[in-house]
Formats: sequence, structure tokens, C-alpha cells
Amino acid sequence: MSLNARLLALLIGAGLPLASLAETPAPERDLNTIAIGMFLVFVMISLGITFWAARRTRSTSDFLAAGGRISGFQNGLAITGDWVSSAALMGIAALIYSTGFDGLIYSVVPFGAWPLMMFLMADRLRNLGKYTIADIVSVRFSRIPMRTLISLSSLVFVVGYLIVQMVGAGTLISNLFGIDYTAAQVIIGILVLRSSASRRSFTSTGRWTASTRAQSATIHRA
Amino acid sequence: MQHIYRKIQADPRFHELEHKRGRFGWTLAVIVLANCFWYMGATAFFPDLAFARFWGEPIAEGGSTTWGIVIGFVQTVVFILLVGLYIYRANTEFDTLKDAIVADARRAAGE
Repeated sequence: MSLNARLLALLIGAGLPLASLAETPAPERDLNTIAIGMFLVFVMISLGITFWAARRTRSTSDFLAAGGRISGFQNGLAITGDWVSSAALMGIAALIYSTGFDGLIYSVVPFGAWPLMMFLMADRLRNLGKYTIADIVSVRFSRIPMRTLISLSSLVFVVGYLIVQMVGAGTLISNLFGIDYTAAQVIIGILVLRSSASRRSFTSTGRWTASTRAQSATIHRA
Repeated sequence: MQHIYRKIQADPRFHELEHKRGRFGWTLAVIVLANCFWYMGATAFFPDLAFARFWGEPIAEGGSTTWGIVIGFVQTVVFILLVGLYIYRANTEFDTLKDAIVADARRAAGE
């Protein structure tokens, strides 16, 4: 199966061919102390953000869209986190690997989606005073079916996205530490669960991708 | 609350705001879309055209960075400048107008 076919399978959300890609055994190599050190520092920083955010989580509304009190700068950081994690770590690395350095040009056009959201949607949604897509749609439509539909579609979307992230992170860990792929997945799972202890930190670290994508671009304009 | 909404709907300045903001937003959106489709479309489907062949040329002899990458980054900068332009106009012109409309509607509704 060619790499392009794998990428295609990845795009349509089928995780199985990708899992077989990750099952190729990691070559035995010496421990890369610099890489491991950087990895640990990064994990410490993101756990630190999580604890900091968890301390500030007081009410149930804080768990969704960070209580609606994200400043423009924080929101910019969340969007940057989204962009850097998904595009730079997963997409662009794979594109450059498979098509050469020119693969970088593919990263230009998705960037155009942000200005479009800004020009056409952001102002209206901001004036509406709502923070999530579910809230916005519920203004005009029947609440319960709309929220159910949006929740389900976000979950479906997130599952596809999660598979890619988990496979990427698992492969990274198993190569970095020279451990078994399954064990690496368990470690990643624990880390992700730990940092999602506070939903607020999802927005802080830009992990709650499917919904924040749309909502974070629209909350704050400036 | 419904009363204020009706007051706002009846305000001619509200329709002026909608019209201006819509036209401005769509103009910028069309610029962004045209840029994206022109650039990726030529790269993907017409790589033999003269200009498309030019951006396949490396910047420096034997280097791997092509002119296409440079054009791509210039586009990114252009997008950022367009967003800055929109924010500037929205923060000065549109927000002033919006605040005036809402304040008048509140006063008329007796709140």
C-alpha cells in the first residue's frame, strides 16, 4: 500500500491502515537524551498549564468554552496551538516526507480558512454573544435535537482526529524511548486523560479541536 | 427584549451597517478565495503554464526551496494584512455604528 493511499485512508477517517503503519517495529537505537529531555520539558509545561487551569475551574460553565471569559490573546494562543499541533506536527511533516519540500505549499491554503471565518462569520456570532456552535444554532432552532446532532457530529469528527493523533504520538514515543508501541499508547492515553481533567485546559492547550476550531475563531475578533 | 430587537430592525442605520459590513467582508473573502484557488489550481492542474513553471524553479541554484514556497509565504502575509485591515475597520467604524444603534434602541425601549 503506497503512502498516498495511506494518507487517503487517513483522510476519509479509516484508522486501520494507519495502525498497520505504526505496527512496524521501532528499530533498536540508543536513547536520545536531548529528545527525551525536550519531550519531558514539554509534558511538564502542558501539565503545568492543566493544573493552573484546573485551579481556576470553579463552576460547570467553566468546563465549556472556559466560561466564556477567554481573552483575545489566550484565544490566539489556543488557535496557534491547534494549528501547530495538527498542521505542523501531523500534516506538513507527512506532506514533506511524501512529496518533498514542495509539499509545504499545501499548508498555505488551509490557512485561508481563518480569514474567511473572520470576514464572514466572526462579527455576527460575536454580536450574538454565544460561544459554541451548539449555542448559536439553538438560538433559532429547537434546542435538544440540535444539540444532540451537533454533539454526535463533533464526536464522530473527534474520533477520526484522535486516531491520527494517537498513532502519531504513539509512534513518536515508541521511537523516542525505544519501547513497545502498545506500551507507548498506554502512556499517551494516561497523559491525555490527565491533561483533560480540566476541560478548561482544552481551550488553554488547544486540544478540544473539533469544536474550538469554529468557536475560537469567532469568540474574539481582536 | 423582543421590543429592542424590533427597534433595531426598524433602524435604517442597522441596515446600512449590515450592507457595509457584508460588502466589505465578502470583498475580502473573494480576494482570499481567488488567491487560494488561483495558486493551488495552477499548481495542481496547469503546472506547464509559464508562470506555474516559474514557481517550480529553485530560488538558488541547486537549492530545494522553490519560488512557489516564497509566493506561498507572501500569500500568508497578505492574508494576515487583510485580517488586520478588517479588524481595524470593524473596531473603528462598525463598532461605533453598532454601539450607537444599540444605545438608541435601548433608550427608545425605555431601558
